[in-house]
Amino acid sequence: MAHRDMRKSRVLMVAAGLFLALCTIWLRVAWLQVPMHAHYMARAAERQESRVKLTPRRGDLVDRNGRILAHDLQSFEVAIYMPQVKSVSALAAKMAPVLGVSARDLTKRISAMKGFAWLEHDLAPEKGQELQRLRLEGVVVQTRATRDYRLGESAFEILGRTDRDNVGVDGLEYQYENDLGGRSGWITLIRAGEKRWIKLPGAETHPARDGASLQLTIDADLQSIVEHHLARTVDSLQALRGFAIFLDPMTGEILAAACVPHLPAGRARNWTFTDQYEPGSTFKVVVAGAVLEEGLAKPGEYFTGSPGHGQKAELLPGVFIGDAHGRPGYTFFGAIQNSSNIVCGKLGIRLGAEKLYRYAASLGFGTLTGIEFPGETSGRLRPLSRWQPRSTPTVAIGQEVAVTPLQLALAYAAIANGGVLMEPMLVKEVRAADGRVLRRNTPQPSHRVFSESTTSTLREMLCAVVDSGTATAAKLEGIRIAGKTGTAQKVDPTLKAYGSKYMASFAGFAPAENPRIVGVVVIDEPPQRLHYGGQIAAPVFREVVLDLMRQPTSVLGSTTRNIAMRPPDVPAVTAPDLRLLPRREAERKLADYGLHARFEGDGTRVLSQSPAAGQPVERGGSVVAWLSSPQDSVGRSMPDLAGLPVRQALRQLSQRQVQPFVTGSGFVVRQEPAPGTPLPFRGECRLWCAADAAASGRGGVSAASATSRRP
Amino acid sequence: MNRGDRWIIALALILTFIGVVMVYSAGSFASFIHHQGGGYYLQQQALRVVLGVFLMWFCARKLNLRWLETISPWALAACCLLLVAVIAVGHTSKGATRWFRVGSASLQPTELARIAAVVFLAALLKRRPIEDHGFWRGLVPPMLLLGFVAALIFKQPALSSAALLFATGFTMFFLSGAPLRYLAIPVGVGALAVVGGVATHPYQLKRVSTFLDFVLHGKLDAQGAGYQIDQSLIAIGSGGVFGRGLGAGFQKLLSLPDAHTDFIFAIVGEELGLVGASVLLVVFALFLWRGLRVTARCSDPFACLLAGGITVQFGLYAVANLMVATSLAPTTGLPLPFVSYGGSALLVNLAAAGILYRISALNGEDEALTRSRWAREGA
Repeated sequence: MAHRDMRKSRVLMVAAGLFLALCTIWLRVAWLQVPMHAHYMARAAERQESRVKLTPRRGDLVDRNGRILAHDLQSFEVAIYMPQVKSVSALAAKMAPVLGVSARDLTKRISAMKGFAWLEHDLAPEKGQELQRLRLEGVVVQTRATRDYRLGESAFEILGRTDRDNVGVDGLEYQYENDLGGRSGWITLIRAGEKRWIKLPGAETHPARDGASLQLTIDADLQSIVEHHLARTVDSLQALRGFAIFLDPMTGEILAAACVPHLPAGRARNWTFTDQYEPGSTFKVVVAGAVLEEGLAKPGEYFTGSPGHGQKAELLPGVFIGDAHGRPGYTFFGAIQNSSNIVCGKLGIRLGAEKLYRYAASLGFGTLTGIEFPGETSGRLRPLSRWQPRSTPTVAIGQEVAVTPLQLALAYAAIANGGVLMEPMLVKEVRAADGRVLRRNTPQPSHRVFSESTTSTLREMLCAVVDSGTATAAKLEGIRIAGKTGTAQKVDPTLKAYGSKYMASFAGFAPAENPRIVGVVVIDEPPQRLHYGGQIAAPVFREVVLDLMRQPTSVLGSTTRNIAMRPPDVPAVTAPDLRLLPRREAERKLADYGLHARFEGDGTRVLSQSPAAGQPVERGGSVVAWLSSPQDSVGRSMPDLAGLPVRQALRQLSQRQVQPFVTGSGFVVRQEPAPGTPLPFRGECRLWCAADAAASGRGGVSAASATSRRP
Repeated sequence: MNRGDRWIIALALILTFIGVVMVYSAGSFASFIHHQGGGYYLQQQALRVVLGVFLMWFCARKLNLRWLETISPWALAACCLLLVAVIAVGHTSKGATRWFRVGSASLQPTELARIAAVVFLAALLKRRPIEDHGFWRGLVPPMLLLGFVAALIFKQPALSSAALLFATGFTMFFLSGAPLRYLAIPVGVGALAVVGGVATHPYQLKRVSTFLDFVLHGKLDAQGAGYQIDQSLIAIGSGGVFGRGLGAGFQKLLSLPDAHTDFIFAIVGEELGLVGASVLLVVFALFLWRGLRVTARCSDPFACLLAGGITVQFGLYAVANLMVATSLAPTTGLPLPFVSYGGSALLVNLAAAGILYRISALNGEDEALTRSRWAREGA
């Protein structure tokens, strides 16, 4: 029995031991789970959860017909983290074939890096994905959105640009950043193991809201046409710059606004909104309209002009104004037709300062139009109290005032549409990513300025200007164009007086009977003897209208049918600009013109074409388009010019807006930068040429000597 | 046949059930990553439960304790051969060679050896009680035997299993009524052996130094050696009183290694909170209490030592596992009896629970016999 008792007590001791151990464990668990709970909860949250930012897609910019002007493309950026790179040459050897560069160059580039450094910012998706698949140590590959502008440089000043983080910094991209940019979101991910993160069902998320898209009132075709003709004029005249704005007179919708040359992002301004200039004769419609509206003169009334031999006339005591032609007198109608300063000054005096000011202000001069665009200026129309006696005749002929092309275009639109000043419109619709319309702008009439009868007389006058006045260069068969030229002397800032530099302009609309477009074209600082608006600005307007008429469908609408019925001229069409277009689109565009396409080379986009854009082609003829890889297609890489005649080489360079410096003549034997290398914006290029093609055998020698001569 | 202590069966089954549920919860993600689909571990565990319950029923109803006593030397010898074989040709995982692999099934001979050793020790101590044979002839031979088996296990290396086998054997000596002065010597020897074992194996030395660092300085190298224990504490601590809810834990998502095996208690703490952990502890406590109750009531020395050995082994494994999970002991790979994923251990544990029930039933028969004898004498 004693034995049994002893055993019982020993079992009890074991039981006590185990119980004590379990109690200790329970206390430990309770300690961890109650007082230490918050601490471990925080540690768990910090370890287990991670918030990942979700980047929204930026909205598109589309033109009035829904064609994309700007959209996001996915691209990749590549960085190297040097501490993780074991062998630079081995890494370069693996990356070089993917990136399409030589392993030696890559080795050199990577060797120069320290720490974390970017290798590539804008890598094509297929290359980026392949790099990601390689999973190289020390190589960071991540996606980023690149803004793609389908028209390239075209419409740059309206659309604006985004910065490296895809945030708008300029133009509409900046103005509508809140709509376009969307809102970034985040998602809570849960850690699974050391490197894996998973999204649990029901995880806390805050989805990103993709940016809204803007439908602009811009017409991509018209924009390209305007830009093309403007650029040709500015380039061929070697003028300082040129700008033009076209809008729909009935609605105030801006159809195109072009600026030449394109300045680099940051310095680029849309001069049609942001620049004011002295309008000169184009402003005479204000006094003409006001006089007609007030019934102060009939179009047939005769006014004396120059006292003789082109002398200036004294309109007010001490105020002399002269005419370019210096004829002894005009009727009111003829004065507008021939742009007589003297008669218009007299009309201004008859109207009186107060009424002249009132009509000018009523047409929107001197005030902001309120267009939603960064940096609009108001122009200048001094308040009446600050007018001098001589101000009345000078303002009447468009001096002492400054206007923006937009203001002038709106004033002409009022004449074209029967007397109503419209609010300008640049954005038709703001549409959310899901297609919902957030805002829709409708044409807004501001107020009536002129009566119907006044504007119809004014339209007759403006037609006469084109038919047989100062703007005959704008005359076109098959369509009546109305307009007014302007040639303003620029004030020399050092002399504080009118100097020898001019601004030639033309403002007009077409067709005159039923206006569909209103345009203002301004050429800044044209060369001496070619400085009249009628000489250089009016033809631009004419060319634009002509191109529009050749299109089966355009903003000119049904009027084109009249033209289409005519037997085709030879040459019937100008080659459209195919550059940068994808192959299929180029084909379609050519088909629109009744042309055939002949493609050469491999690639997705058209790099260059022959005949060049704007050159005449027989209808039914064909256009050769050279295709190139996407990298080249952005037009930022040097073409291979070797062996080309200088003339052809220069044409290719000018298409890329490259300033060439030519050494020698004949055929190109050497170029710098080398073919295929990227081109800095408005870069320079040096060409070495030899006398004939046979010299290409000596090309190497002469190229070498040319190199050695280089500083 | 007499009814045994049904509490033992019930509590073992409850623990097994908790185990199946928690293995599914803790292992589904790892299963998803490492095997096809999330149900792999659940399926395997459920299969072993079916087998194990059958084995338990066999041991509880059909097992002859005399036969068990007779074959115990041969069984232990066979287990020792298996242990030698596993060191030679076994499957290595995480730095230790502990498994035989036959297709997808694996066998861990340590689990068989630990129960065989308990059975043989009970038989030996019954035949040669220590108090009757003195220190040299009574205590030293079973000690040497124990040392031999433990050395084989230690060789894998599985230091903690070897140490627990020693501790189990020592408790059995204690229960067999060995004089306390005899027992002081094996305690010292055992302690020396453990220290020597730790000191000669850098892998274990590191764990111990990590643990000591944590205990003494509160420092935890969360990236290196202390990673697993750190993750375990985060799991338990973030559970709070009521837990994140069954299945809703985060640490099992590959953060806590061995979440469905050795660290399953951490997941219980995370998902079921203090409430769930307490229930589990209480069930264990009840099970151990029922086992020791059986031990105390035995009249046969073999049955008594066997029951005591089995219960103490359960208790030591559970305590050691829970202490590791709560960082009261250095990290070692010991399963939580009945609960952790692992086929060999579960089968052996259920069989052992069956044996416990069997012994309790025999006790009942003895008591009934005694009662009837007293009744007759009284009459």
